[in-house]
Amino acid sequence: MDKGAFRISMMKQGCQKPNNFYRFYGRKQAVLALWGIIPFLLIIYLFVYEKIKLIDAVTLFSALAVFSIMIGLSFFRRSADKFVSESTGPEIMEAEEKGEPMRIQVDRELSDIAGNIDSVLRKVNEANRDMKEQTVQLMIYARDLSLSHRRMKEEQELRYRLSRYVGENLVEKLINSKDSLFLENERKQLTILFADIRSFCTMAERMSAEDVVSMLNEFFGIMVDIIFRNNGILDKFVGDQLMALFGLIPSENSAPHDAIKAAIEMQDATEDLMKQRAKQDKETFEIGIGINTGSAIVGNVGPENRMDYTVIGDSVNVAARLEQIASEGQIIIGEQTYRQTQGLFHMRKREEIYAKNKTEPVICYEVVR
Amino acid sequence: MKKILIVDDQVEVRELVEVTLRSGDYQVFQAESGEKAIEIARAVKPDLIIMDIMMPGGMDGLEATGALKNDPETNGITIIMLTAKGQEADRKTGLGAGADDYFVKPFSPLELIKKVEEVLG
Repeated sequence: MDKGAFRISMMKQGCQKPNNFYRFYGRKQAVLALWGIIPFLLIIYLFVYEKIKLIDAVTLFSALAVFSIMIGLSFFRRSADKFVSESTGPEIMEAEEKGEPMRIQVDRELSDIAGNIDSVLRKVNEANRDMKEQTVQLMIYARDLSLSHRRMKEEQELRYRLSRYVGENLVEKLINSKDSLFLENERKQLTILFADIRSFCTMAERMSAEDVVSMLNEFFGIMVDIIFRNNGILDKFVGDQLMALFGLIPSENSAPHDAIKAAIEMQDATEDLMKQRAKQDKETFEIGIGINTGSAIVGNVGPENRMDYTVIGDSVNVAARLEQIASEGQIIIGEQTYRQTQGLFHMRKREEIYAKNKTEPVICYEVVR
Repeated sequence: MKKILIVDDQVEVRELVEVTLRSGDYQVFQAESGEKAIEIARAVKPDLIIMDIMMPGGMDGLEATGALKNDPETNGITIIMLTAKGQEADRKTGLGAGADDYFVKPFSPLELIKKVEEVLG
């Protein structure tokens, strides 16, 4: 029989005495059995000493038979009661769980009933097992749910941080790719681009604050799109100046190539924008761009709640210097940038310049559009 | 839209798998027996079948998998076993019957989604 099913053992009196109840019950049974002798003793007494007739004997015997049956029934009833008391309540389930046999002291008919209960219990057992399996399954679902919730939160945070520096299309790409952790602190070979509006201050003085802000917003909006399109990241705006980094996002072109391409597009887009503004009788301006390539440290700098992902290094200072010497509509690049893009663009050499903290003169080139 | 057939005798399991796969854009069919699975597979030509092994009465998951893999009409369908039989021998039997992959119940929904996405590209 299955481990799950419970066994019935027909206990014989005196074989096993598992508890006090049985001991007491066994003694009582013996006393009851003795009662059965009483009618026979009575018959013998009546025949021998009273000399009664046969017909009287039959009548008397019938009465005694009824009496005996009643005693028998009460005895049987007791054992059935005991079976019921054993087979109800949680004890039966407990016995089943411990794999203990159910102790029944009954006649054969009751073993059929016990057999039925046996099969019911087997079903209950199966249902119980199913339920446990389902609970485990549910726990796994809950675990996965919290896992994916945590991942989603992390992704959202990363998305928020990324969207400050790169374009929306790139945010998706970076989140899906494994190497999305470019917001870490490291020393890297980078191409830095500075662009600013020439003679912005004198122009701004002639304009209302609203006009200056809306002009800058329109202009920067276009510039940022171009930078994002060319795999650059936007480092920061400083007034009318914009700073972008190339070489942090994987690209099919080299970083200097992407930067110069972006610079040309920025100059072209600015010209287009100025033509529109001229038609509307609005103030117009031109921009100068400086690009330099070199080693720099990128990282999150600043107090904890004002952290800024930025770049530090000599090559950054040189790029800023190149932007300063670029006149209206010009793109000036450093030597490293030139070497890595030779032949890709039309470029001509410019006079050497001296940058801050640099004893050696800086060799620079102009990109001819 | 990719089509997925879920075969399991327990309706709860079928529903659970269907709900799990709702994150993707799939058309889901259900069958409660091996025979029914073959019938639906022939009719709708799913891209993937997620098959239980033990199904009482008639054809079990292994037999149904064997039958589908031997039929030139349906042998291109990817079949993933999803079953409570987790022993290594059961896994081998399942793969031996022609199943392309094997998943043990209780299963991780994230892993199931990943597997399904992997199979369906």
